[in-house]
Amino acid sequence: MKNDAPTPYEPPSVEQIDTDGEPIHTSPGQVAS
Amino acid sequence: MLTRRREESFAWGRLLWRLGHRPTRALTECPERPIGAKLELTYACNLRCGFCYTDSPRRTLQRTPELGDDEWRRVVGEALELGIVEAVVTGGEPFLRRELALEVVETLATAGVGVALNTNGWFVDEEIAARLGALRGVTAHVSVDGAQASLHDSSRGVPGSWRRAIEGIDHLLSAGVGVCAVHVVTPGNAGAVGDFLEQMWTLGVPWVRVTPVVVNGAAARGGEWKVSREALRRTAAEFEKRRGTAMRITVQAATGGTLSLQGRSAPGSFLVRPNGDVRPDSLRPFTFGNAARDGVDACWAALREGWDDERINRWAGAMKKPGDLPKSELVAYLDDEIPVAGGLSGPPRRDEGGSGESGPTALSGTRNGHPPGGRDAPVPEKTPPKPVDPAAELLEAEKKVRDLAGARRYRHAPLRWSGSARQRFVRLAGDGSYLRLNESGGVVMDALDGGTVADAASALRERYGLDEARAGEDAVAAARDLQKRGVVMAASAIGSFPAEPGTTDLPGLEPSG
Repeated sequence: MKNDAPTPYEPPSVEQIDTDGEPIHTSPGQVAS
Repeated sequence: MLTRRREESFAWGRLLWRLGHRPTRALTECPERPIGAKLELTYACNLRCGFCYTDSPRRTLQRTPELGDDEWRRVVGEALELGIVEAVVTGGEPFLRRELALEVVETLATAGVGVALNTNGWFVDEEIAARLGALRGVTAHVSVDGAQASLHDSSRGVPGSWRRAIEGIDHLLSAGVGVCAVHVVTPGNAGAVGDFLEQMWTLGVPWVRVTPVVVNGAAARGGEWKVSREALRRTAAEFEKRRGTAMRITVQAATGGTLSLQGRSAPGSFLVRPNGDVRPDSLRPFTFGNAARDGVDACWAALREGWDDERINRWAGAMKKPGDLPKSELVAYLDDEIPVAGGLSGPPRRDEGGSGESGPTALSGTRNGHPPGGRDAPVPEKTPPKPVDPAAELLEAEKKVRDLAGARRYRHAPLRWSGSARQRFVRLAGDGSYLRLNESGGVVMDALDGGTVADAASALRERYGLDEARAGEDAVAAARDLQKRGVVMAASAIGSFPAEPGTTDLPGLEPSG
């Protein structure tokens, strides 16, 4: 992280993502056949 | 709105019940087995609060006899056999019986019982904190009456008590123990509740309970206790608007409003007095036998049979509003309790060596083992704090709290994270939930992997060139959010997952709904 140039300062943000128990970016329904 | 009217008028509470507006937790029948127990391990306390609902300073002076250690062990064992799932361990000050208090909490928590432990924090050292931190489901409720020593110490009657409470809380938080700071609000400190909330937030307290005085016990001897609950709610709302909801704030009604439901809402738990006498709760001064003499099972059976006894209903029914509580002929903790079942009970004498023989040893010249009546009994004098410059004292107190909080070390909870410097996704192993952090949130998260809030502030300063005050404030805010979400936890916490909230059940707990 220290190698990256910092973006303009914004106060820290910690946001909960409501996934309803599902993975966030990996569809559980797509199973390789 | 309806709940607020119920706080002001018991008649409203009764009317609402008849109309079907019933608190969600209310029971209409006493369960076959108790759900919980409140255990008052000792009468004694090292502080001298003029509002003490258990009238402990008077009891301390009187050296009222209480159960021995073995009798308490048996009572706790029987309560567990009956299947309780929650308990309040309290006093007096329970850590005046240090080993017993720790053993009782350990026994209950190890059995899976949720435990609320009430303490003034004076005796909480690293050893107590470590033993409590090794347990799950325990929350320590620590009394703090203000953001500076003079407010708290004048309220509690012993100089040094604010410092001991704050340091006790720091020990507990450092060991990963769940903490609720309990602020008893009086006309003397009501104006400073906003400062107190800020300070608890800085200290890292996850939960604050703000409660007006319940006019039982010592408070019923006199004094001006009334404060505006509306003003307290406004102060809490303003704080949340400013700081968010990472610190839970409960504004307790503390009016004794549950008395309006006597004869309607049945008890689900029982209270054991230090001499073993069993009552339904803190508000109702009626006994149903003695746990050490008769056994917990028999006392619970008596309570199930007699909880809506006509004498209790008449007593509660005569009170129309909370202001009637101290005017009643029978005031909880100030007057001797009325036995509904089990007859007059005396405490078994406490064995000097703590081995605790049991037996109904009524003391001569006493009733229920207490000297007759508490209304005219002498109480210990308060020691007033030294006069100080309030503004300078507040600054000093804020610095102390910042220093304690800034030096506490954290570590990551079990988790994995992905993403980039700009944005990261965190998956918590504890509950499988996901969080999104921005860049500066990631900086704080990294600093708290073995570091302190002061380290996080330095990291923000270094990376973004912030001034010290801004970096400090933002680091505290982010640390509170990360703690609340379960990303970081105290480095010394023995468990793998953040502290859980425990239970609470103090007098005046207003029925919800």
